[in-house]
Amino acid sequence: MRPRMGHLGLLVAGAMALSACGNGTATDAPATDGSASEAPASAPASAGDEQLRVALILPGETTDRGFNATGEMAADLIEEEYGADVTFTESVNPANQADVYRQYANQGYDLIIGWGGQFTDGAVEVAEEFADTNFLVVSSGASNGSNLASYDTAIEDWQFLAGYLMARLSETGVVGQVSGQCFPSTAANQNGTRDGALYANPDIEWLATYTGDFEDPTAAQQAAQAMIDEDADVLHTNLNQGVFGVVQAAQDADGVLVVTEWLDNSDTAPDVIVSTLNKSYARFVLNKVEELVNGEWEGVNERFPLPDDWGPGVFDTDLLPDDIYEEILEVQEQVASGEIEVERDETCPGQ
Amino acid sequence: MDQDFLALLLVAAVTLAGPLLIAALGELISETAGVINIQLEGMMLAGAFSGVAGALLTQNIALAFLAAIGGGLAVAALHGIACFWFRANQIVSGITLNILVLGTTTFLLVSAMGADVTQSVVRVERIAIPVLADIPVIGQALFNQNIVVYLAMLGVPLTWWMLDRTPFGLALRAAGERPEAAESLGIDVHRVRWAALAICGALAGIGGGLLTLGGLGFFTPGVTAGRGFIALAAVVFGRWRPFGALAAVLLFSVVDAFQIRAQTLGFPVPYQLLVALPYLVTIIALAGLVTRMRPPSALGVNYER
Repeated sequence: MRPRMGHLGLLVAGAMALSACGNGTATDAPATDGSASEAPASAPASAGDEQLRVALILPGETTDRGFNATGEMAADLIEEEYGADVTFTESVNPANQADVYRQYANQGYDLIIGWGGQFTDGAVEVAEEFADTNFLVVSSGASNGSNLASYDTAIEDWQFLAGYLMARLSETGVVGQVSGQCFPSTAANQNGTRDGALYANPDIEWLATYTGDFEDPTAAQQAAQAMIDEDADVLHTNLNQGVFGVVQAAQDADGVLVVTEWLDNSDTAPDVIVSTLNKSYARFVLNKVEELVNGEWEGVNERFPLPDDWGPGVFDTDLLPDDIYEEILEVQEQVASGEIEVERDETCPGQ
Repeated sequence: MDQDFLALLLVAAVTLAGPLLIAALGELISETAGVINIQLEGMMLAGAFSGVAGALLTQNIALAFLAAIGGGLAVAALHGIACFWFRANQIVSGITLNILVLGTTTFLLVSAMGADVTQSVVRVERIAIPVLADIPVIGQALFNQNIVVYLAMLGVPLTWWMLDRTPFGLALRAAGERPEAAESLGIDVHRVRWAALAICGALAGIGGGLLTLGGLGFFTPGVTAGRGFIALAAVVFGRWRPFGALAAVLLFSVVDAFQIRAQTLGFPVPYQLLVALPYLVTIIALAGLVTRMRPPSALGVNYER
């Protein structure tokens, strides 16, 4: 675990260090009484009220060019829009989540955000202990009517596009997705991809695996290899760092492509990453922060569908044929307008 | 299940088993001498990291593995200093080192490589052994591997021979069973334990290096993902015997490779059960086989003259 201060936190620290220097050199100019206690109060850039303090709990490293990087995007957005003091902790083991929530709550943060549905249990537990702290979990369905809220996207809307793209690109007629763990939102993710693939080609053979660990690239590599051994030639993932294992498996094979997720990262493996599904929870976090700032916070769950002003749902690359790219954008329009209704299926395997 | 399925399953299993086996052999040697390494995971992680760092700096796979050994040795040295010099509890030192290595490697990665965590490095190449590699089912798995995996396979009988048939092995066992008696016979227990710990660090470093320099070709934070603990358990389930550790590691890896494929084929079973299957099968199978499961008497007990 490596706690990171947001930029504003650094600024505050820097300002305090500077004021300390000032006090040290200007010895004969008597400092105003209680300058030490004044300094932190005057340092925050936002005028007037007490500065909003927000903490994020991330499951992996923000260097992942994926889900955790979108967590950092959310942190930056909150900082920019509300001048908030935003901190995050990376690579929080879900087993320790309650402790991390509790530490932030003890430190007086106004809003603590669990970045990922695996951080639901700790929020539920700690929200009861700290009535004055607000908790928000993304990709989750939890809420308690007061200080615990969550939001989710209709992830199947986005995944449908990835699945459609995979089926259109496949030459063997076999495609697959390697995921980390199965809970309702990740099940909706994987099943949404499946439905998109089947929509594009009803005869497609669909393979799916949960490795049990979003971060383990070795397990993901083996899962991808197992799919490639079954003739899959287009793969998709719902992983964090594990994705690099899938990309490596594709690179070691012949003619296997990968559709990655979250942020355009095709430059990391331009030979196999054919496109990236453009999705993020970051933009929607502002809705909840806005509520909090305006005193309209509600402890409810919300689910945001694919907006019609989202921009291209998949990123274009040199590997991606233009006609297929155009086709995806048309399908995206139909999904956003409701012309294609994507069903949300939260079934995990064996249920 | 056709032949192809089995052959590919075994290829995956041996790939998964290699890093576990090397680390388990190291831990076995160390525990025989009475030193337990909860930080086996940290040793592997350090090796995985320094191996990739070495490969990036030198572009040479042999030097990269030397760097991996260095990473494992560094963690071993810290453990030895804490336990042998400052008489720290071995378990506590091990847990602390795991956290330290995870934090340090992640920090070094981000500070050295910035956002480009996936920089690919040279990987150790596979060498197919003529004729043997063409044996149906097992040929590709056993005889189309890289040199490190071959050495790991040879390491099993070698470790057995070393522990059971050489004066050094006797000294190791004496240091782990009755350190006072060993000392009275002129064996320098501290030196023997340092040696055992160093061997463990070096081997765990190679095991971690095999993970990144063998299969992946890159490092990610916490890339070992608990494999050090599995190797640690394999020593116990293997009853502190080299072939026992091999059996535990192979069983675990075969079932792990199988469960991944079972999911791919759409077995209508909750995936959590499949992911847990390698652990369950290994525990059940080897617990049933256990006749005399006794750790070295002085395991984890620091020796004071």
